[in-house]
Amino acid sequence: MDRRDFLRMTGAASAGLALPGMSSTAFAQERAPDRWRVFEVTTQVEVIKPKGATRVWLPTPLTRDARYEKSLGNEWSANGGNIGLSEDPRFKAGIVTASFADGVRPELTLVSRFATRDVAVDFSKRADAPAEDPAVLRRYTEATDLLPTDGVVKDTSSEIVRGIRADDHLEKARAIYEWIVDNTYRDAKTRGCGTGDIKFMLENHALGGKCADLNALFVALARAEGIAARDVYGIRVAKSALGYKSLGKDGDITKAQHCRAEFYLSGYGWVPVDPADVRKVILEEDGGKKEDDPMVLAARKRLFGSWEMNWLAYNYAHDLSLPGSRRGKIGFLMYPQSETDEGRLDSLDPENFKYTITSKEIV
Amino acid sequence: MRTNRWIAAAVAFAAVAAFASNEAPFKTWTKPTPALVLPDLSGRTVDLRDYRGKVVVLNFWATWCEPCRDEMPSLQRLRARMTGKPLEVLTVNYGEFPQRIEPFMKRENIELPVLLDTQKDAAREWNAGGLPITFLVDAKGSVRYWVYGERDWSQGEPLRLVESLVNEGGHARR
Repeated sequence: MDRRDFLRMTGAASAGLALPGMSSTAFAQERAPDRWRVFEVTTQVEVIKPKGATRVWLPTPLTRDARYEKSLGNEWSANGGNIGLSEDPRFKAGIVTASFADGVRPELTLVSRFATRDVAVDFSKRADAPAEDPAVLRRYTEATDLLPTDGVVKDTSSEIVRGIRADDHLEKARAIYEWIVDNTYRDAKTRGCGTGDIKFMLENHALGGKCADLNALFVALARAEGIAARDVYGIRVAKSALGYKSLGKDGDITKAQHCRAEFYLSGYGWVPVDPADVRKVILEEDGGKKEDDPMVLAARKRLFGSWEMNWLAYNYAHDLSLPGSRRGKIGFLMYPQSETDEGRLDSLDPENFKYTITSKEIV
Repeated sequence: MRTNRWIAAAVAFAAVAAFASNEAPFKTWTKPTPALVLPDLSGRTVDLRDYRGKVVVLNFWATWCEPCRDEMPSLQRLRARMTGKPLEVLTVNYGEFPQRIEPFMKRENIELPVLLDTQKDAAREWNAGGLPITFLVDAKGSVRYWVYGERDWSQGEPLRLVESLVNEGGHARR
């Protein structure tokens, strides 16, 4: 995309009121205010001591608009490298890929602009949301390398939903959500957002983790029950307007990656959930809160069916092959990724793979 | 046979004790032993098969893993305690490069062998889904037990389990 297209799309968004293709009555049953916010997120990357040729991959905002997010374009530059945008064929994850020859210091910048608005589902009223493509639903019911849907996962999900009618996906999803809030915990010692190896978690009764663990657990358990569900990998971009200090970040968001989850409910579309953030409130809000604290109870209720959109969704991808990579698949793409001739770098090692991500609200 | 029953009883006891203390118990390994061929910090290729005749305590760790750091001195103590006996402690670093590992080892005064799993391939083969995770390999080269979470390897049940494998009858390779 050249710079002129980027500015035209931003100009349209700055007019602010109704974005193209988005009717304000499309989801009349939602309670969330119909206000779009526009953000700009800048990712700057530097590989400090590259060995040989280097490749870098960065996630972009969702490539397909959702009711809570619209992409307004991406702009990039690579100092001495080749750079371009591609989309993975299975999950449509947008990936900016840069490659640098041996001897060139790898540096690149990605600027993404996007609009978000809060989303909430009113279960008391049928929303008549358009039906999802059956092929998409099949994709998000399948097992992945890190999310099996048999064995201990199915044993666990069966136990959780015991007594609930088999076709009552809403109550099953709710039961799974509540089970995760009640039985898991946010572990401050988990590195980054976690790894999402939910089979290991269940087999070893190691139910502590962070968002990529706890929300992946929701997704796997839901899929084991035949409910289409997906992780949504992203990053926080603003403080929470709802009074939760632990659930927002603005300015330097380098370490503010956050994964959420959705499940599909016929008639309602994709329903947002975030049990991991309930556990974050318990662990971190004002130094920690008891599970029956009013703030926790409010978050617990709100985060089944709604999201405050102070957050950018990148993609839904699992088991992703990075374009041009010489290494295997990655479990998910939420952090910048890099490889040199020495191998894949550690995305959480700033001494060798340095990046900063900043966010500002435009409108 | 009597020795194997004793070991099984020791594992069962450890499981009960661990449950009572919230530690994950030692578990019996029921799958084939994966291969392990990795470079060490000097660049030398190390193959687990070369240690047949010795019991191997194989520990997966990372510098950023707090319980791993807490556990390492006890692995050093175990190794020192078992000097002259057919035992080796091998550590496998998960996902990091020498430029990060070497300063850490120096700073923490750790002198254990370190194998480099920079691409986490070995961790995948060994189902190391969390850290620290330790595998006890008998003198015939078969994984017998594994445990997730840090332990004090220089005393108590972990030491007894290691000693029982050593006493099973491996002999040092000449």
